Amino acid sequence: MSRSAPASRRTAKTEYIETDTGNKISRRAHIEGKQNIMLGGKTVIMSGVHLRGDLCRKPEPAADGEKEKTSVTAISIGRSTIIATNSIIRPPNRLHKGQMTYIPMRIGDNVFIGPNCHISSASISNHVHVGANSVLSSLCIIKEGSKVLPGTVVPPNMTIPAGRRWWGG
Amino acid sequence: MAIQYPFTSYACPCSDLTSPPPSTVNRRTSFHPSAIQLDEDQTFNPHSPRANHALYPLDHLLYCDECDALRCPRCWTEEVLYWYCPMCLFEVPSSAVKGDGNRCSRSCYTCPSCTSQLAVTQITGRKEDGDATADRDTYILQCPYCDWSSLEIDLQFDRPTKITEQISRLRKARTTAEQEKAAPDAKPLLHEDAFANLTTFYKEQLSDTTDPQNPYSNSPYSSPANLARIMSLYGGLPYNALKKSKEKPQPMREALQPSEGLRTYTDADSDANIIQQMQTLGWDRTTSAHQRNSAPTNDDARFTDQLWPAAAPLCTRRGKRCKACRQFLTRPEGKVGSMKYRIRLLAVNHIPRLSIRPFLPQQQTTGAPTTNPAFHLRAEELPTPELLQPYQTKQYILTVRNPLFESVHISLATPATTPGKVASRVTILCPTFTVGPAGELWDDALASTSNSSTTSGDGGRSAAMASLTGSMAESSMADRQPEAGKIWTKTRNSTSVVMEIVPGSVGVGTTRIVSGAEEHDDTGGAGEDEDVLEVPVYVRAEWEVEVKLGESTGKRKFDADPGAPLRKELGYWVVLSVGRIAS
Repeated sequence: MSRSAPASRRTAKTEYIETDTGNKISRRAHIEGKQNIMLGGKTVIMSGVHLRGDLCRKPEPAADGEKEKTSVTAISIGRSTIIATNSIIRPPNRLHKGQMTYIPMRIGDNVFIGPNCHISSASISNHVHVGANSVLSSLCIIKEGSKVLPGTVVPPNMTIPAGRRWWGG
Repeated sequence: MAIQYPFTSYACPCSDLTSPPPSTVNRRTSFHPSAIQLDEDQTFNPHSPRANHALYPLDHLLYCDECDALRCPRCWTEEVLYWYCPMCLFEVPSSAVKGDGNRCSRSCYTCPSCTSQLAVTQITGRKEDGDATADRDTYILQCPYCDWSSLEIDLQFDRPTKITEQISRLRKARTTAEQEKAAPDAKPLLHEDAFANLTTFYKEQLSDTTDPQNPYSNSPYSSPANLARIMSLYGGLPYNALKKSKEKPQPMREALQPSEGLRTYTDADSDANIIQQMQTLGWDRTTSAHQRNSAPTNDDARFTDQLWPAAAPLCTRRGKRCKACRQFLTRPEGKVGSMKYRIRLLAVNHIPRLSIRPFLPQQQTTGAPTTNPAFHLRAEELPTPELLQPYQTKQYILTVRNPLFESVHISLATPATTPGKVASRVTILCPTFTVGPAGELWDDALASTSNSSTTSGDGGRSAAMASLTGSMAESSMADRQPEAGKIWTKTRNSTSVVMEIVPGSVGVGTTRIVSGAEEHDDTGGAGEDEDVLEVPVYVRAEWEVEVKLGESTGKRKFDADPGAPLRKELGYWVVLSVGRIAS
């Protein structure tokens, strides 16, 4: 339920579209499956960012006569989060009962994701700082207040505890 | 990461460079006339080889409100509050840590080859084993990063749970099998067994030697049980035990047999064999020092196919205590994953903060882009550091921000020429002024809107207003010239003054700008970072605290009148690193 439609467009064409809740989304961001993306408000999505909301668990095939449910959240992003240029946010996938399924991804409040990052983590808690050019592999969990320094590769399934600085790779 | 100039760092008073350590007798008082006198006599030299060990960014410092002093990592002690596993985030009780060691005993294992977290993976039984085992599932540990799996050491589990138990069972079975295969007379003891044997041996020795008529009946080491407990705490032989054992007729002896933990050289794996194996397997298949140190099980591993998965080492959460008064400076909440603190005495909240920026009147109201490289938003936009030109006067704005709830009187003192090989001339146009009290955030917002005369350059609300309306303040700002003895700008809890700096020349043997500059040494040539212009500033803050009647009188020993406000004074050295001087 992203509100990418401009609430009130006063000026002709600006770089950013602002929604009712104060999210700012660059016109040059690549957003797929916007019905599956949730933004908490005052979040900035900068240019060149890929948000892959289309990668979500396929909803159960609807029974006859019922309307198909479409509101599956693939990416939910909290308040006041900044996603800097050219980062790729891609929900993680894993083999589950012989089928490749995508797992919804959650990014908390006040998260900073630097430019050129590749994010596939299962969850990023509040107040996390991810430096530029980092790779957060699939299903890693970043806990509250931790800091991933620039150029870090976080391996799959890794948990980074709260308040830690993490680097290397 | 490149350093971004300008920045400020604060000298901790624990260093000899700044002042003698706070006296223990009078440490509860805030007023030290003698200490301050001493501080003012000697200038802090930021280029001294030891200065780096005394200087910290303000965010790294704590403040002890009992001693009324800054505290740096050298003047606090750390205390472990709890242990936890960084992977499963479960707390491990300290008894378990002492008993089982500092590794997670759940199913948390790291890859021995790349240290990432191993995942339990299910594999279905192989067909060639016959029909009976075809549908039986086995489990392996697999690294999702480098594709190492426990199959490389031929390790499979029956169940996906209780991995630790299964690993230790399998390892025991395998090592005993190996030992039996080896020559019976040259059985190398495993590390774990040797250690276990040694501990039991030494414990026996201790209890034997300390039992009869203990001369230290009053000491806490009187009972052997106590001693053994302390032994296990520190993991070594206490001094007393060694001394006692010397006095005894039968001294403590060392381990003599493998059953007691003795481990001698065996040529079970002959060197020739190993060298040949290394030749055939190559560099990639031999273990690195890091891999060997990953776990005790991998100590002897020479080749990657001998590496066992390493149990995750535990992490600690620590509190910090002041070394002088043992008070907690920071104490996190005792819950894993919680970032809250019960006690947190940050220096940022207790001492006035100095910041410096170039004096650019025309750019004052425009929001400058962030200079912190951690927050840059575009890869191409990192600013290049600007070099200072020698003998060119530059003006800087020095802002003092007050975190206290009282109005603070600030006096700044700086040497006329900076110490070090490059003598630069520094003048603070207004060295004494008052900084208003801090308040709630709301007060700040209200004050800046109502008070239009303040021309804060912090990108505050008034600045935004000024830029919107193109107000008169901006145009008058552009014409305004810094004057001696006058403060530049003032907001509710910050005051800015102008500072003039004439950078010296870096070249060797050039004429100095100031004739009286001292020659520190004649080694010649500018040393490392000698070209960085660093200005030491002595800050003295004075303020008065209203003492509430309910407060304990212990702190007010030197206060004659109980009703009078308590006068506080704090002096510290701040080093302003302005930038590099062009050579």
